[in-house]
Amino acid sequence: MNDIELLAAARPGVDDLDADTKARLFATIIDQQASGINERHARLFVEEEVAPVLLVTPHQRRKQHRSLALSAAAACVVAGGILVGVLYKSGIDTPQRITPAASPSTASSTSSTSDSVVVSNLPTTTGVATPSVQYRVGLAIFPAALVERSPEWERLVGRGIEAEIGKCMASKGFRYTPRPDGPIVVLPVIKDADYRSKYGYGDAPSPSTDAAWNTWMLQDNQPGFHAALYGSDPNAQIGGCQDVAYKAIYPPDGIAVSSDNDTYNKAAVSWFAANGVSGKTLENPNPVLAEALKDWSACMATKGVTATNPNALTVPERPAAAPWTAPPAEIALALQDWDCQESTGYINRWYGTLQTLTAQFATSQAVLIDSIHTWQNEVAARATAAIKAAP
Amino acid sequence: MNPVEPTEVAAPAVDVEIRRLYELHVDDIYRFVARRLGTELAFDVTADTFRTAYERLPDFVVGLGTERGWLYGIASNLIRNHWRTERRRLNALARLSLLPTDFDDSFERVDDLLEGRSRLVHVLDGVAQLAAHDRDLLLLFAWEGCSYNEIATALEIPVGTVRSRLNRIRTILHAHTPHEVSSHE
Repeated sequence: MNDIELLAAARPGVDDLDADTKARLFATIIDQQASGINERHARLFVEEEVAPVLLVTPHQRRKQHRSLALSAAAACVVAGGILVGVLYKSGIDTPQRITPAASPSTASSTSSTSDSVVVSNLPTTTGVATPSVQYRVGLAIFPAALVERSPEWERLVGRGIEAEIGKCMASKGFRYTPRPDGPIVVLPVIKDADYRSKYGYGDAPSPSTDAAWNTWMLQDNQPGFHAALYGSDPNAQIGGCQDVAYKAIYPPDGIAVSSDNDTYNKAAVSWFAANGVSGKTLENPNPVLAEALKDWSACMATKGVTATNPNALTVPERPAAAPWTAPPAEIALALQDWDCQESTGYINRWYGTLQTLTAQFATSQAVLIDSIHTWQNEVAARATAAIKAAP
Repeated sequence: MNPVEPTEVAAPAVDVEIRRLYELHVDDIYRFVARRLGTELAFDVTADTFRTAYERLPDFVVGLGTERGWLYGIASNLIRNHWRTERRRLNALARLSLLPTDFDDSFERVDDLLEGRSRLVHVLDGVAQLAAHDRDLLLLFAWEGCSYNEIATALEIPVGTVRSRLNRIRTILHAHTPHEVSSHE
């Protein structure tokens, strides 16, 4: 029995809801909907919707979630009922405000692992071309990238929190082993021909974890350790030394995201929707996107593949014996897809549109972006101080 | 003038649709949430799942995925909001796995059982340590029996990525399992 089969065998059993409870539950849903509830969950989903290209090229974008480095961040991102989606990981060290360059690009063409892409003659939503620019994917394309927390920032803050937890646990008589850093892995946003020829639509392999994680995980076997670290209220979102640490690092109240993020994200969703780039539907797309999709689809048709957009492609099944290796058929399709994206100008037009919209959005929300950066800088300063103060 | 006859007002399409989704999938979603968070939270999180689905239904493109996978995706996001509770639950499950149960089987079987339980503790530790999106994927696969396509829809990733990520998760779990007790794999 392998590990997953073992886990499956340990699946907790749960009885179905009875009819009365089901009816009550449905009534609750309708009541909640009618009352426009609720802010907390609105926060949860808005971050997803800020990435409106998901359904168009999900295989190009989900790389941000794949880094094992995020396992540390993921364990930290839930606090006070807020999911802090660190959606856009790039190689960029610090958050920057996007400023479309006015000079022609001097960069080379796209490469397999580069996070830079040359975009020429970007179309705007009004059809007026903007000057050629070079941008770093992950910085310029999505609004969230403008306020993103870099892997380095996440690592620094994670260490700061661990230092605060260690201090708190020591005050309660426990010796706490800080959670080790995970590796920072950055995969390309745009998976080009070189990448696809190796991995198809799949992921490049990530480094495996090491024994330090086991040490960190297993230390809560000490009596009372768990309660000291996480608190003793099973229904509380956060408690114990973890709560203390969050409050020490994240101003003003221990919530791991700036209070401006909500406003920012909602504004971003509205901005993109108003410009014909909706998160969950391809109906009524931006004219530039519609045209790009049409050309891409026509190109694929010449290769004998019928699909309206890259997301609608039917990827061949991988053999059960080796599901982690892209078979030749998948690689062939991925390369055909890439060829059409490149040869029809789909990449330039689509990402160019997004970049233009994002740049316009950045200009309109400069004050808000500055405020979020100020918050991030304050968090980083607190984390740095905590690390320095640690024994 | 005749009095106006009361007429039945047709429910908005979204109301009809959300009821259909609810009737079809509420048991699956409730069990999924309850397994991960316990029954105390399952009612609220299930309600929130369908309420969110209600809001987002107009944007759900049927042709791009499965309904059930879509609902699992919403529920998974909500579950992440309760990570601390889930962690406790995984720890509790690990402790329960160490308790003796009926030993009315052969001695060989008992040995297997004990070894399996010992390994399970490490596996559950590994599950708790996974990144949230990996944990979602693994538990949709191992506990809910979701197809790759459903998982792909839930997590908004290509099917090929589901496979490759599952393999990576296997590797991670294996790294958390003592080799001397998992060597027969």
